Amino acid sequence: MSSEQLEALKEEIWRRARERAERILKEAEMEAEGILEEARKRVEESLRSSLESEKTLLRRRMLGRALSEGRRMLIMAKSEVVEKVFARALEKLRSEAESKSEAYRSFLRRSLEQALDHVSGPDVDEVIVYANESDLDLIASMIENAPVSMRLERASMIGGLNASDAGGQRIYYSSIESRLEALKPILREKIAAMLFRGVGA
Amino acid sequence: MSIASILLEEKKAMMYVEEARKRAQEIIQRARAEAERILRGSSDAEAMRMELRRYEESLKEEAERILSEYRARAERIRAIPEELIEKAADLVVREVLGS
Repeated sequence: MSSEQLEALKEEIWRRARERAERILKEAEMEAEGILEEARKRVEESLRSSLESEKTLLRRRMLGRALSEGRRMLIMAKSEVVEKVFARALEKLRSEAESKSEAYRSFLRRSLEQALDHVSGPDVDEVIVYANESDLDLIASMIENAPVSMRLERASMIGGLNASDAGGQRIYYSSIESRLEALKPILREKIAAMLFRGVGA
Repeated sequence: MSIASILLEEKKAMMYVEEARKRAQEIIQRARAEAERILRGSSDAEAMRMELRRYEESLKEEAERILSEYRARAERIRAIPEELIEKAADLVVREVLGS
């Protein structure tokens, strides 16, 4: 082998060695990059998933609180308005009772009839009717031909009447106050339907 | 130059490649150590807290928007005209008197 051939062979050995070394380093760098990329991805995924669940909880808590506070505000506002209606209605009822309007007289007559139906019976000797002092004469004129003995008693009420037997076992409530209280649940719904539809409530 | 010298060069070249292999191992080990550090990383937890704080601020604004919308609705309810209140009161009177 000539010295040129030997030199060429030596060059070839080193060219291959360099090539191999370069390939080894390049592959190592790629693997290293892959390892880091995988780690970053795992961290990111784990953060994202725990962050998302934290965010969901936070959102539910904070917005849930705002919504329930908002709903409470609406309920309060509606309740204020409904109470205003009841207060105004009570003024009107007082005025009806004081003026002894036709509607009030009819109401009193019906109340009396229903009270008699409810309270009187074969075992009842006397029916006691409780009413506002200003209504006693009016009621007295209505019970002139009553089929049962009746006694009138003065009571503190805006209007209407309550009635009971002597022993207080059968009682009929038809004072304005008691009728208003009894009707309030239904009236609240009717008032709400009348007032709050169309106000974005 | 002789065959012996070629063999020597061959040996040197193999050592060179071996050296590259060692360096490659070091590169991979460093990457693994760095990956470990990333996985344990506390700076990311801090980033998460920051992100949550930012999100909480945006939720506060959203909650305030919801509340002001409800406040406006409540005001509209309170501002119901007097004539409607009167009508509703008349309804109550009719129902109570049964007329």
